[in-house]
Amino acid sequence: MTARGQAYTLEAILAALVLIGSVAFALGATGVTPLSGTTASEEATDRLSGLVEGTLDAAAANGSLKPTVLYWNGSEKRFHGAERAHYVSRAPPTAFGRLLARTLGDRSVAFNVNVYYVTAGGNRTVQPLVSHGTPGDDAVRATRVVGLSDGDRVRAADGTAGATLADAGGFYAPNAAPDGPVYNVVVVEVIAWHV
Amino acid sequence: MARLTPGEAGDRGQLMLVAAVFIGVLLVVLAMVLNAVVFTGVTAGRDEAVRDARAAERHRHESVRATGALVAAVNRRNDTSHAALWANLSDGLGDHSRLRDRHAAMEGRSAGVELAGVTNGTRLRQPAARNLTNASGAPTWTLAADVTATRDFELELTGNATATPCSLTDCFRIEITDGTDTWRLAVNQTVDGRYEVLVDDGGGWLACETVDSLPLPIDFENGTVAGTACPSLRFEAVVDGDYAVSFVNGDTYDGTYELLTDNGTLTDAHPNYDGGGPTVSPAVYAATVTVTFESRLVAYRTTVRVVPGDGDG
Repeated sequence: MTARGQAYTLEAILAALVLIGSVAFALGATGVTPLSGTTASEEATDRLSGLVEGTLDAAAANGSLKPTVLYWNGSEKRFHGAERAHYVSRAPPTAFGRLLARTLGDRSVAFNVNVYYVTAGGNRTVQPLVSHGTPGDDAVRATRVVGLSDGDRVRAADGTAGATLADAGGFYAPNAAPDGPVYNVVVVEVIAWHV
Repeated sequence: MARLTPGEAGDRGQLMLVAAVFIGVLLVVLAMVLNAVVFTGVTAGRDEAVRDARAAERHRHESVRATGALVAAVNRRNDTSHAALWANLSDGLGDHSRLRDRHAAMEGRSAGVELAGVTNGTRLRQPAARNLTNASGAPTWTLAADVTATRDFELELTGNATATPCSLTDCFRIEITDGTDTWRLAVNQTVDGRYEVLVDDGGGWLACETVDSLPLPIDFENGTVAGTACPSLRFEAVVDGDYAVSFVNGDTYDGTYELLTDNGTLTDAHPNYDGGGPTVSPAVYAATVTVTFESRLVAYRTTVRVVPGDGDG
């Protein structure tokens, strides 16, 4: 038995090292991080989210959001020059559309833009503005509220002001408050993802 | 090598090794599970709270913008009386709040805005070009007194009302005084037939802008003369407390003007005003609103005074 003493000692030392090593690894693994994804993809998503939020902030600040919402052809029931009722794979030819194309399009980012409004019955529905397809897994989303009043004017194809919402026919959103100056409250949603 | 089967006393090395590996694996699995639980429960929740806080602040800005637009709308549509203005502004904000909340509900939030108070004001205007006298033809007269704030003040001179060029002493002037300090603006005609805008903020006359011909627009709100910036147009930096706005030598030019003051007592019954000349109408100068926002993690409530044209509040 004494001839095996060295082997037993070495085994005990090895066992102790494995035990201490596993405890140290477990303690080091308590930094709280998500189990899926990498740090690099998280940062890319955060950057894209900041980009979209900043674009919407800029559009809201310079007043280019509302004219785009009002860039509607009531007789054709579509946005001016759109392939369908909405634009397919391109931004609208408005200041907001150019801002989107310059900020997101130049960075290989695709985006969908939707306009949510309230119906006369109090329900909420959507009018797509831009569609680039199905969003990817890393898509981010940002919204801004735009209030429409009876005195706001729909825009013609060249961007000039036309009839007021109270008088214009065929606008996609109805007058949800006919007894007062408020016409409707819409939410512009931008969904963006890397292509 | 030692035998793996248990045998004599002391022959426990293999068992210790296996046990150590097993405990190590157990600790690693425990750490992974703890990590997932902590991240889901704490870190992700913190991100949601940050997003909701930003949404609450955005809702405040949007509510201020909406209130400013509604104030402008009711001032145009419902200026029969201050009571009508209040009622229509309150109803309009109620409509906006209801529709806004409908959108917020889809994201599990509540967002609203409610009228808490108004500052009654008066809109003075002369929309059709005539000379700048009062309704009775007096060339020097006080448009409004007991005023502490003015906004949307615009004036456009459209034509000469006198045959001969006027000078600093007999040309049209605007005088704004609080009884102690006086701010003045004059529109002179130069010897070569041009029109020169001068401003005296208490330190002497300074040239602001000169144009070759009329019309001459002066925008006090944006601080421009014929589109060119003129910082000395900010008369609020000179007068303090209650002040009066007067026209002097108003018979030298024809023009149009409009301004909105926070003195809500002016009425068309005053001889200064008449349907064919300068008119006054009730208006809302400013509105105070209560903005609320609520989500699973954030409850936000604030009161904001909205003066249209004063930025985002």
